[in-house]
Amino acid sequence: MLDYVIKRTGQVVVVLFLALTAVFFIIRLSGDPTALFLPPDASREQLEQFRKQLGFDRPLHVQYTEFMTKAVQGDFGTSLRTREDALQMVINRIPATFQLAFTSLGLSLLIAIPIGIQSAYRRNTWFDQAGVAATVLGQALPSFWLGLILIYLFAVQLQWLPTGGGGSLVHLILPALTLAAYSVARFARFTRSTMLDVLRKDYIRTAKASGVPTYKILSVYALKNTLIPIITLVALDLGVLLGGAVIVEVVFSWPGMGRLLMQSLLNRDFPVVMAGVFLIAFIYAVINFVVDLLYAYVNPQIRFK
Amino acid sequence: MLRKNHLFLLLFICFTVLLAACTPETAGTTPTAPATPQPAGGTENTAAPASVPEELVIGFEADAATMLANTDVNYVTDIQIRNIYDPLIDRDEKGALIPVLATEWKNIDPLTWEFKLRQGVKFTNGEPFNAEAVKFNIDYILDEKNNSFYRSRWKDVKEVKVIDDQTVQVITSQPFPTLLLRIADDLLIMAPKHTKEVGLEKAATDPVGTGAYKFDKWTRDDSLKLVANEEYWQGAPSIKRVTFRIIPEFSARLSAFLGGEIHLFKNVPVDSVERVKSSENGKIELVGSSRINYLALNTFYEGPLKDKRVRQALNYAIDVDELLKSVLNGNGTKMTGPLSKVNADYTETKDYGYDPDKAVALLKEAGIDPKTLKLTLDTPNGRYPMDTHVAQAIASQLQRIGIQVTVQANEWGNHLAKIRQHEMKDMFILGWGPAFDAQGTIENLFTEKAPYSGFYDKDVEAMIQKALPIFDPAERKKAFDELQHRLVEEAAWVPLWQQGDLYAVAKNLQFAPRPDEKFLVFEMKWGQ
Amino acid sequence: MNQSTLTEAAVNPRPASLSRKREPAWRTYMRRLVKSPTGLAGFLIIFVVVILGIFGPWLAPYDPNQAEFAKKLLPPLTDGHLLGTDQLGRDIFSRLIHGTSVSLIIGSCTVLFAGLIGTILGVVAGYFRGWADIIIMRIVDVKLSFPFILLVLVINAVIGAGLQNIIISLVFAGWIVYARVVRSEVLALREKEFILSCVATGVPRWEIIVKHIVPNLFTPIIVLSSLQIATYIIAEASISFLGFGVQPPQPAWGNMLSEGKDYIFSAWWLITFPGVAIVMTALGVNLFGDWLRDVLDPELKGH
Repeated sequence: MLDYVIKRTGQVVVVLFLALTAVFFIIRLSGDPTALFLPPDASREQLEQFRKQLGFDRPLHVQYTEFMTKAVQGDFGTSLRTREDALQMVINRIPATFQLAFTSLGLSLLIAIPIGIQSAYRRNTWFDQAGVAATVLGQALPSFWLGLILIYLFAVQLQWLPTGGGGSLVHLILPALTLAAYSVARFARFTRSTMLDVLRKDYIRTAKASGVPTYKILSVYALKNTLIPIITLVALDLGVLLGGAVIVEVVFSWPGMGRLLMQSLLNRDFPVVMAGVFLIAFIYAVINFVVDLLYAYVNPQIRFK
Repeated sequence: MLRKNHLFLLLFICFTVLLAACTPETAGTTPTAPATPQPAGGTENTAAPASVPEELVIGFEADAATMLANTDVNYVTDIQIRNIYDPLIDRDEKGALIPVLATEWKNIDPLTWEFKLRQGVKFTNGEPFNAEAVKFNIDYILDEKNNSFYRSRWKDVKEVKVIDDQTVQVITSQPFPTLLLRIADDLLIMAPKHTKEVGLEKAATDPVGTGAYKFDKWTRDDSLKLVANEEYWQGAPSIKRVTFRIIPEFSARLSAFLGGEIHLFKNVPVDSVERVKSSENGKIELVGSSRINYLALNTFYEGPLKDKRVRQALNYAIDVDELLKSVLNGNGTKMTGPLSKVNADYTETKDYGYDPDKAVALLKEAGIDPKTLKLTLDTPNGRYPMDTHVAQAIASQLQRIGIQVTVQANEWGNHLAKIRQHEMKDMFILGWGPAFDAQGTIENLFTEKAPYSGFYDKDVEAMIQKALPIFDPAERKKAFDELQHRLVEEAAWVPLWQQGDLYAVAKNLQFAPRPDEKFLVFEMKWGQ
Repeated sequence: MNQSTLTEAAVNPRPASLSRKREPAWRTYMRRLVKSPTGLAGFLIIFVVVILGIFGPWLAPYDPNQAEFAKKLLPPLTDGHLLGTDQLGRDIFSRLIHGTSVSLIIGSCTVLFAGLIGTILGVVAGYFRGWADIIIMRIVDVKLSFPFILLVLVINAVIGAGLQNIIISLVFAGWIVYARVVRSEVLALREKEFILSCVATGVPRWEIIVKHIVPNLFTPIIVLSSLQIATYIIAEASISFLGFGVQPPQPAWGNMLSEGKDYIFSAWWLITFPGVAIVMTALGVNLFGDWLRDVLDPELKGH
């Protein structure tokens, strides 16, 4: 087990390193940002001077080495716009994004799993057909469109909910639902098909034959065996969730990491973009890592692959 | 082993839901629905009819970069912090300069300016306002270490001398005729002792000024809360609390406004004006902004527009009145030259008018058949009111005489980069503002070296360079008037308009919008 | 995606020379398609979309870029405009049709290039193993450590907006899925007996790859592509919505939604129809893709 942990950790480190390098070069390619921060009436000499001051005129590999050495110590520089520590700025937004992502996740699991189970159990009835149809639809909806429609219905027409912003549970409802839509669809379908597989198995039939009540079969025996695949799917989908959160955050003006990243991209605020990209990759890698570990712990076969 | 999984999943679900519910509201503010009865007009209002709301909520499109003054050039920062800090000189609603913290000013000689300061003003932490404070703030801009984005504009200031508590002198290294404008537009006074004590980093989130409002709380990207400074030297403000709520999406702002969550926001798109007007609790206020929009005819590009006649033809072929009417619904004031009427140095220049026949004649004279002419038009996307729509409308108009125009929309950063790097082709749309003086506009948009210039002509450049350092006001006016006429003659632009800024205002709020786009809450009050 | 999907080819690979059919394969598939309501629905939707995309521009009633200010923001079914007009007076229906071509081009080009690059790299990694494998898989891991949409966004923000650039961004982010799937297929295939026997009898490597391995990759690639197209179309719409991607005035569903969102209060039809177009297309693709997978990979049929 320890071997496995070490090996995986090494992989994570390498991956993060490469990711950071890639982003550094890609972003540098988009030109330098100084002009966006200076007043439009700054002369060319002043633009040059500013570039020098920020260090953007040095050769790329020099900038790179400096950046990497500092980054490894957690210093991503200061935001070109607000002069705050770039990494700290992004970290401050993590709670908001997590709130959104995990609420969505929780909601979608709560909704999807029971639907999936019931769908599998009542295979081919109208319930099942409706469920499948709904889930297929859910996967086809672009999140920003769904968000707009929900805003239109609930905020504009009915005026039950605010159109955006952060700060309270009420503001969380629409964004979380929007983000959850896609996941609900995926999880429900997946639960259904996994459940169908499980229900075919012998030990289920045995349990049924020995008179174990249906609900117990479903909730205890069947559920347990669908969990591993579901967990795997959840882990795989976390990336989609985090990515989707970006768009939802923009549509609803939810003050999370994604929105910060978007704004910084538009403003060419390099340090913040780097910090944001790194942090997202980091979180994602860590989550995957943890899931892999749990998976390996629970299922010893994996470790020896 | 199976049991483990079951438990795990259950725990996981509980954990996520708990996490979401229990995470402290780092998004900061508790619901900002007005703490007191809804503003008059909300039909769902069951509370007693409105006493005025305690808190004014302004919907704003972007967050301030910092609470420090004299640092970030972006107008979104400036507008918000102007309620915390006072300037030395301000503008009135016509754009003329009026005394604020400075009561008088004069030139002792072309390189020396002397300012007399207001007595008896205190910062909100008790520090006195005096010449030292002024020196501190100007030195702050000039100091390279502070990386102020304003520094480039102040480079001609050599030093600041404190003569006595109420008198300060600014010495420039060469004649700086627009120093007063810089002081009016850029300079805000931060409390020196406080800033030095807590350090710049902390002062960026904990500002102290002499202004009408005191800093209360700032949640990045969410809201800025201010409370009235009861000891304000101009008298206590009538609105006691104000919050700038950051709502980047226009439709979210509109929705918040219609729902009574915010009382004021700027930049209502022209097609939504009716919606606001017909709402129960809202009205529209319009003001001619000092910000101008124009179509640059790029002479840096080796194309047909290098010929003056072609440029003039385009001026005849584009019907600016129609554009204003149909695209902007009349919200804007047409311009005929590089400066708008609100600009102090404005002089009336000739209007080409709409004359497609003359356009075609001119083109033929230049040896070009309009039907074979192909041009490109670059526009930013959403930066100025209806910018892409205007671009496409212009393309349609030019189409009428046979010219093929390809419209290219750019993301803002790219648009600026293309201009700076001279990658723009024939025409591009740009705006400029606040624009209250000639030098700021002409020097930056019509010279060879200026980063965002789209025009260069040897003779005109010489004229400009001669006019810039003129100190005598009468001489200066003459020179700049001449320049305006010349630029129109050269058809460097197709001047479009002075933006009509549209504000959505709650019916029970008295607010007169300003051409310099500022939100000075001190000037607002409740009441019909 | 499950690793257990798309294994039909691995379970039942056919050496190229030994395939034998009783009736033309396509006929079998057509029969099965007609029998499946969802698959059929999906296919029909795709069919309509493709026809509109290819021939639509000739059939569109108005010029999508013809601005007519007197007629702006007309609701649907007024004055000869089926779906109404937008804020410049342009006919929405015509713009929608032209946008279909754009989405079609983006979807198919991306699948083509991402598929090509991903497959080649996947084969190289899976068959030759060694350093090539390690390098390629590291790159894949790096890319995977990043949500797809963010990757596309960052790349597009950097290289600039426009139709070609959005395709480049999508390809850049999208080849990974192909590489991974192809690689695991190849890994499984190369252990199969018929491949081993080819190696043993000295068949040159290139011949093995081209003649025996690649044909067995068609199924997983096709199934994967059918599911990815929807992702790409939605991704492009999202990016354009955020302000990058395809820029106005070129009509594309994403930027139509972006332009329309400011009119949510006054002209709901600006955001409804492009959105419906996206959903229907993605739906059709998903339905058909699901059917395809069911047919080609019986393991997961769920019966």
